[in-house]
Amino acid sequence: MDTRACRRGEQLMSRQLLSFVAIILIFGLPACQRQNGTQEPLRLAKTIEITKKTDVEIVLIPGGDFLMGSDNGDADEAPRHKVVLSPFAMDKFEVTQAQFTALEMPDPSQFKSPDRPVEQIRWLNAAEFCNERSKAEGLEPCYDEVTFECNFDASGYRLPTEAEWEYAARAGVDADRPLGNAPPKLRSYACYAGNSKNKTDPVGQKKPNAWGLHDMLGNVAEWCQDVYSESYYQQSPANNPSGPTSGDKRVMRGGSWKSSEASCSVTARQGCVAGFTDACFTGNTLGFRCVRRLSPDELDRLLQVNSTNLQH
Amino acid sequence: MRHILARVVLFGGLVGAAWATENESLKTELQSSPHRILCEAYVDNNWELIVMNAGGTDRKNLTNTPDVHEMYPQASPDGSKICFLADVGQDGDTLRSVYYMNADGTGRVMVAERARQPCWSPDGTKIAFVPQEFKRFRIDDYVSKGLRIYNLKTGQTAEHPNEKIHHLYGLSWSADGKWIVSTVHGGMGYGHAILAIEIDGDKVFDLKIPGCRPCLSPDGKRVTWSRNDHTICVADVELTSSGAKVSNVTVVHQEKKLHLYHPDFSPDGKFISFSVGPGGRVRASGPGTHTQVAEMVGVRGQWDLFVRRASCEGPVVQLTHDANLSNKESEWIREPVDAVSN
Repeated sequence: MDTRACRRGEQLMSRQLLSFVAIILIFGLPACQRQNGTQEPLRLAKTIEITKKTDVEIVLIPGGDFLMGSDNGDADEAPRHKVVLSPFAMDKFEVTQAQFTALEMPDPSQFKSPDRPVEQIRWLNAAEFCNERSKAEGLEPCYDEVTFECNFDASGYRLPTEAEWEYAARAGVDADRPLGNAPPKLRSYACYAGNSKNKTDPVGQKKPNAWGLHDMLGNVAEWCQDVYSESYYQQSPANNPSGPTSGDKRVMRGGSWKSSEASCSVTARQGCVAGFTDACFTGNTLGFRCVRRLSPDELDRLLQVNSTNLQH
Repeated sequence: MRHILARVVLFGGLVGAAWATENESLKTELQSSPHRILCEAYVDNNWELIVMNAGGTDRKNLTNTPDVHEMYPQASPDGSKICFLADVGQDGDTLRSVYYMNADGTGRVMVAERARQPCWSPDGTKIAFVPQEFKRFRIDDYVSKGLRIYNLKTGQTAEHPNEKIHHLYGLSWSADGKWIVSTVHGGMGYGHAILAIEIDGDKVFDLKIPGCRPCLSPDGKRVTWSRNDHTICVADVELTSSGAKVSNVTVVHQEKKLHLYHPDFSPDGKFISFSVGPGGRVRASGPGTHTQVAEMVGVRGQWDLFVRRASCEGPVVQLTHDANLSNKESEWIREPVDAVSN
């Protein structure tokens, strides 16, 4: 049984080493291309395939600036402030249980299914997954696995900063509620308390946001890189903010299958104990997705490949 | 006013004296117990199995293996054998295996490679354990898939018939031989729970007690477990083919800051031993150690062993006094019958 399970894992890995990654490139989003106050999303995504070592779909998010937070929400969402971000690539879907076990990482999820998101995941195990995935793709891991400090200059995967997460979730829409205030619309985009079957959905069952990202709201709340501080927005730097330097909690974003409509918002913030202190830490609403920061050379290369391959 | 103060001081003194007397009385009782206590301890940069008398004195190193890290001792019900974990290698390349040996440390026999959490059947003829789900070592508690039973007489291992068994840890076999009580973490449809698993069938019952690492009493009528990081509990338990019932939950010991784990009943069911140590994640510190929360097997922390009566009356007695040795995973071992008769 033991040997069989190992062999199955090895087969899965070798199959993945030969497979492709689909990268969705989002073009023509200059820094100031926001749509102030409107609900109309940007629809500029195109898909190309390039050879990679895992078959995870990634969306290339252009650099830019946006207004982060809200002056109309909870106290920790204020003040609304300008943030400038470098380009990065983000998983199109939340990390699935299949992706997790393919890297020989035991799956702690309660709602078992290969295509459902990993849940009951501690922050540090999510960071470990980022490192394992980086190694599998020949990238430099971002996390020191003893201190779990993040090297943002490394080429590998990591958890998104809170600013990156919100920028991607907004998908170019400036309003606090990019989907508007009507619950029927949220039902199409998110698995939340109003429509879930008391558990997670397989990833990608709901409509993607304007940048092609699925389940940014609902399904599982997503760990971010940042340490949580209620007052962080009051002193957050404008360029690539990465959160306070120390604290017991990490940021979770997006709400989950268990969340109310109000909690499934692009601005709502939650601080959650990261699981450094409790091996039995559980929470069947806690998941994540990964990002990578792209070097200018890598970005240029992808854009060149794209310009020759894409059908506009 | 002076009278009241004097009475308070007198009363306090009497209570203190009574407590000290009871403490000494319990220590004396433990010291004279025929049973002993095993634990894992980090000695000279190596995990070893230590045996001591029930009062915590007369420590002996049972393993003395500089290149192998022995941990998680489990004594057979008759006290003649010990099954345990042995690690070789480091970090992700660690190979963790289950072994058993005679109670004096001789006659080591391998049960399984890449396996964890062994426990004895009540007749001492079998060892249950969980195999690692993946080849690569990880320190987490949710790393197993399935449940296997090793027969000491034949040397054969059988798979448990329930194919859904996943992510068990902290196993304890019931006195009637029909059940294994265990924690599950992210498996079998549970987030985190303590389950009773039928040995010869596929029945699974949730004991509906939050926590982990359950240990059944030798008569099978009680269970002790860690209700959370800071609390050891004991309760009555009834396991039948129609369900599991837990009642009369009582707190054995509670600490505000320190963590309490690894409770174990003495062979006569009169005492419960447990480990008291640090909270939180500690860094690897020496060969065979891992960076994780301190209560995990193979994680080195400032742990010492304590004992209290299973009736939860009287004081808590500290057995070990050198936390640098990371004394944890206490396990009572019955004085072998032949030794008693001699």
